[in-house]
Amino acid sequence: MSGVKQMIEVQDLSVTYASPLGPVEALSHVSLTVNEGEIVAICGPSGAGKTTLLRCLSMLQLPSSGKILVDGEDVFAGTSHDVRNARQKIGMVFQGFNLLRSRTALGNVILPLEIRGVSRKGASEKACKYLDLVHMSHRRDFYPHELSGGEKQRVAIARALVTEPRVLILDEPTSALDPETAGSIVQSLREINHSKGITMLIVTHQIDLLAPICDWVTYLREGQLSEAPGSSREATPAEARVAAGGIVQ
Amino acid sequence: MTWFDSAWLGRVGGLLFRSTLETLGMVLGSLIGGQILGLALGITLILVRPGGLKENRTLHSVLNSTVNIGRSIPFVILMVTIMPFTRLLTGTAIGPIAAVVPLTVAAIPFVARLTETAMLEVEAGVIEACLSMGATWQQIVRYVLVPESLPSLIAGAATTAVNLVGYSTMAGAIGGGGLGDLAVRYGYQRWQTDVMLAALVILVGMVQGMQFIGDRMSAKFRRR
Ligand SMILES: Nc1ncnc2c1ncn2[C@@H]1O[C@H](COP(=O)(O)OP(=O)(O)OP(=O)(O)O)[C@@H](O)[C@H]1O
Ligand SMILES: [Mg+2]
Repeated sequence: MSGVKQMIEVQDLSVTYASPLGPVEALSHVSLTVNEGEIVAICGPSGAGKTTLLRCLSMLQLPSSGKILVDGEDVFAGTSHDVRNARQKIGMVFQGFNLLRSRTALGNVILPLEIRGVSRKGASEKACKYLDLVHMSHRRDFYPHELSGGEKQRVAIARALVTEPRVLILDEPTSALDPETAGSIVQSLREINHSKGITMLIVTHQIDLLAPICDWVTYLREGQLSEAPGSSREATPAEARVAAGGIVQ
Repeated sequence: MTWFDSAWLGRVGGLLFRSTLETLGMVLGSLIGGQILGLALGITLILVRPGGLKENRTLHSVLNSTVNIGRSIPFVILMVTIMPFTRLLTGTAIGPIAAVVPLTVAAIPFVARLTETAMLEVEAGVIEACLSMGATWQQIVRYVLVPESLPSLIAGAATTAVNLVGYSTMAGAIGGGGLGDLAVRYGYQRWQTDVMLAALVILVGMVQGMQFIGDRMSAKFRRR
């Protein structure tokens, strides 16, 4: 184990939502460890709690119990300043993209840099570079309402990558893309992972597409990871495909 | 009957022109003041509301009730009540400049409510995306809440301006000056209906113009 750094540690995480129809247990005692530089896919049926898990990692959802360490730090223990610092280590691509209507594609990609106080010129250059990476340079002055679903998704990916975060969390990043574009995005993710050592946690329904670049795959169902903690590391993409067979794709 | 001729214009033109400027001055002055202070109050309401970024239930209920009270006081009563305050600020309690004070005070809670409504419409997911980038609440206000609700804020400003035109005529009635005052003095008190009609025509044109500008600007920023 020496030399391997644990980047994401989810320890016994449970999330219960209060709803008018009673409590909904979205996650139940989930534990998961992702090492630095790994690409891990999470698959599982709709409503399994995948988005909930990712929301906890970016501190948008407070767990009912359990702990999350990112880069060794307990993300829920710190002050609001610590939370912001922890969030800046993580890039997130949302299932619904969540682009700002008031900003162009380029403006959206610049935003996380602006938040970090990067100079306008430096931010703009970097944003252009990442828009190019997702093949969106030709649409950089378009507003989100002028983009297709897949184009919005690619802008959202560029926006998450532009800060070159330590950890990248992607919620179904290829759901709106045609197979060819999806394939090219997946290859870009792999290249970025190799060149920058970014740790990636990817929720996907398209495990066949992601499997080739993943170190391992885990399966979430009814709020629980299917493998016992520790053994999940042994599940190869091929085994996970079998485990997910019939339910996911 | 051709009262709209050059002789007529020579007689009352100056009067109408001055009154128009007075009304515009009252409306623009209080629109600017009301927008600045009302926007600040509206943003505070959004931030401290239950579930908001700087949740503070006590402050929220105090501000919320204050806005409700402010909006329920009839303008004429407000104007008379705050006269000492008006005199303190402007040195006088009558005339178009003094009228800006009660008009601004009346506009603040109205703008605050419109601001709150506009900003509640901003998608929660977009705010969360910005939070996940590590934004502070000040950055959320600057990069998300204001720009994303801008079309509605502009439409609200047009509504406020039109309301202020109406209120300014009431301010005129107790010595505020402006077109409303002119219409009342000439039309109601002296039965010079020509002057009254001209003042009304200008008022209608002013409201149409403000609404037109507001609609155009709002549409320019509405991206959906
Ligand atoms: N705010 C909420 N209030 C109440 N229940 C919620 C809330 N958000 C999610 N849930 C419930 O929690 C469960 C998990 O939701 P989640 O969004 O994590 O699923 P998911 O695995 O991402 O599904 P999908 O693949 O469809 O995106 C669902 O049953 C959902 O109804
Ligand atoms: Mg989901």
